[in-house]
Amino acid sequence: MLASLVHARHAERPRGVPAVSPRPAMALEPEALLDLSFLTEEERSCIARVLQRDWQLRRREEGRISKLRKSVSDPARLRSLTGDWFCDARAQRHQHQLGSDLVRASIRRRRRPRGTGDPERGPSRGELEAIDEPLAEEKEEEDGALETDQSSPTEEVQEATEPQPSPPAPAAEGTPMSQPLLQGDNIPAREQDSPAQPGDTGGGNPFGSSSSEEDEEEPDSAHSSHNAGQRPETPQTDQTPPAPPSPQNGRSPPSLLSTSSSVSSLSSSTLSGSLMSLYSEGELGRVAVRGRVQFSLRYDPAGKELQVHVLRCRELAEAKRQRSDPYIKTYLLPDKSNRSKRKTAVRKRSLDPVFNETLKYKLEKRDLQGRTLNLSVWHHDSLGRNLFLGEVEVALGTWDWANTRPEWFSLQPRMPIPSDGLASRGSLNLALKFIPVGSEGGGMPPTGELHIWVKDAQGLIPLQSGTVDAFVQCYVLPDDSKASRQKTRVVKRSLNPLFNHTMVYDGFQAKDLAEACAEFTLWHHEAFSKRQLGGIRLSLGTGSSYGLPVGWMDSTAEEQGVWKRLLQQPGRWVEALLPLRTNLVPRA
Amino acid sequence: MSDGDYDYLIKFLALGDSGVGKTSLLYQYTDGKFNSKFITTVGIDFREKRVVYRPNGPDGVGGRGQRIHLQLWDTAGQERFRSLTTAFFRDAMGFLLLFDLTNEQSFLNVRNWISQLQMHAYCENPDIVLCGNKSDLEDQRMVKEEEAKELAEKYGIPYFETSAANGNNVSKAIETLLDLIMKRMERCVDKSWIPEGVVRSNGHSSTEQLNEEQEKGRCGC
Repeated sequence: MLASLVHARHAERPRGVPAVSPRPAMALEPEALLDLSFLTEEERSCIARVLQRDWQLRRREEGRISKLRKSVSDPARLRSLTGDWFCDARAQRHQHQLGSDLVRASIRRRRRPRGTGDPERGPSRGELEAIDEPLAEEKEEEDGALETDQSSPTEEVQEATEPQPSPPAPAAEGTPMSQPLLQGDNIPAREQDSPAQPGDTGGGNPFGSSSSEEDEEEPDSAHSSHNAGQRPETPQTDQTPPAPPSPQNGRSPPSLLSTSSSVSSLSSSTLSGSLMSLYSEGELGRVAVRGRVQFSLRYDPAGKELQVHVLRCRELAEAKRQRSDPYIKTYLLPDKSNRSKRKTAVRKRSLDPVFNETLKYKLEKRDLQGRTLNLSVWHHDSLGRNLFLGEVEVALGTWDWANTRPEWFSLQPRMPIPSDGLASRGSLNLALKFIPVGSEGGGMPPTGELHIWVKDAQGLIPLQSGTVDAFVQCYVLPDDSKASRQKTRVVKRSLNPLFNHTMVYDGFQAKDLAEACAEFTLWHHEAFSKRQLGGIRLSLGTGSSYGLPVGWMDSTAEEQGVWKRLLQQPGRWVEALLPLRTNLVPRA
Repeated sequence: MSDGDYDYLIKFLALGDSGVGKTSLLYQYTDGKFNSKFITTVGIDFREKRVVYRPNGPDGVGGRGQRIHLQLWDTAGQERFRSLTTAFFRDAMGFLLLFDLTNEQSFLNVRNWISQLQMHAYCENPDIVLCGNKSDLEDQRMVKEEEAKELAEKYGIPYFETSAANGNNVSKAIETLLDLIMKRMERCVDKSWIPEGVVRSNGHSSTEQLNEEQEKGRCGC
């Protein structure tokens, strides 16, 4: 998507204008994504491969051009060698995107979940695919807002709607830096233009570990969204599933619910009451990216400093009802660590915020080569998670540093990473039972209880060659706090790990279960990290929870069936053997 | 071709009705091969080729050859892919517009394709070479050479009768297009414009078709 950003700066876009007038001052017509829904899966992947090849060619070309810019001084010669003559001509007509980028983005659109949790999503779930990882650096994102973009429906990117003076041909004009839909293994993910997802943890695992890892950060940071202190790439040692071996070694049903050491710490009082607020504050993800951002770039040779002067945004998406509290964050890629992160202050209640702040990086000018400025816009949510509102990226190696004027850039969504094609990586065998309040007589239990017995996984497919050190993690959503998280022990080197782990969540009424989703994810445990193989989500699959649209209510028909049986048969174990699917819609 | 060791990346795009031989023509050009089996192109594809371009000015001052990396986009002619393929029009510097000499409808559609180009290409009057393909199937010919030439002249574009099967005129058509592009580039880049007349007389041996309309090609440069 980024490739387009260079072109995106030409806010003027005469298109579809009568041929007689070569350059109308303003023919403003937003560039819609193409509707490519007619393509079959096969055709899409075929086209994606072509785009991938094209992207490789463009990368090579980009490298060539950046060398030329350093070595060729004659401007006319440079213009022809780099292809700027063509890009400039095209920019007068086609404001921002290369056709191949438009197609790429359009193909991408269909890969995304539709609409923000639109309730009709149930039936369309089937076409949801594993969506990409959040940007790696976002793992550290204070509030884990990161993943939201994954599920944000890709809407048409709004074009600049006001005429802008056509800026001088940006140096980078001739250097497409867009990213292919498919990432080649040998391609450093991050360098691919913008939406690139570094998170694709090798092996093509569509899930990578980050999505849930991030969750672990949240409870603590929920109330201090800007505690930049969190370390992004630091291995999370607490990943070791703390869960001790199952108390019951045998297969006897866990009649003593609370014997499990991982019995939920949710108190009956917290759950129901807090569901609403937790959810509404934190889960409202999926903002359709739109709008644009204006900033200028300047390199101060004396101070050896890159200055990103962020002026303002226009027509940002609404993170919540009619408002966003935007702030801007930058990274100087490929450095995705905190050192590389800069932020503006939050501007409350504005879709057209004015920032007028300068974000600075100390570095030698020559070091700009190969660096990419990633500038993203976020909605700051003081209680929940920040939401992604769009981003742009600028390849600094090819930036025209003579141009220090503020430029407009269309905000872009992030690109999904295609899954590796496996629909599931094995199956999970479990049983559940719902015990309504007081149903056992004598006022017991005091609240409704959900009993979960994770028995074993079967036929796991390792992420890489070898085997799996597996554990299962469970949440009962919408509560995604640490308190809601339960883990089994790690069963090493087994493709059929036996967990035999029980857990109890209490504080439920039957009607809460209709709004809830029991999410089980199976992970490969590594020394300092973990990687997800797949998961299941038991819910009614309505696409919404307590009236709010959510991506994680994406249960398959089979999963829904289990949950329905659970609701219909209180007090009885409901057995389920379900595929660990790889296409869980990421949680915001 | 894995290195950026070339001087110019030039991007062409082949378009025209389904089955006129776009893929075959490009395949013949890049690989010198022909496969008579019809395999419909899925949306979009491209081939690449390295060539050396030597402007053959009449003055003989050709200068050293320019290393060109050609990216040859191939598009599906099928209507169902139309929205997809037209999106790629803007990425190309020049166009090979093909019709099938044995299929009159494909010839009649040439004007539609041209108007598509005028609408979607990087500028309103991009460089186009018209190719009447399948010239080897002389006994099945449905389009007279004169008709085709007339149409090409009307648009001010070069016309060749090509055969992807035997390779006849294939290279010539593409090289002519390359020549047009290189000349246009010169005009765009060179602030001291070469008067158009000179450019024309300087033209490629096979580019007598260049005419006024074509030359008016303002691409905004």
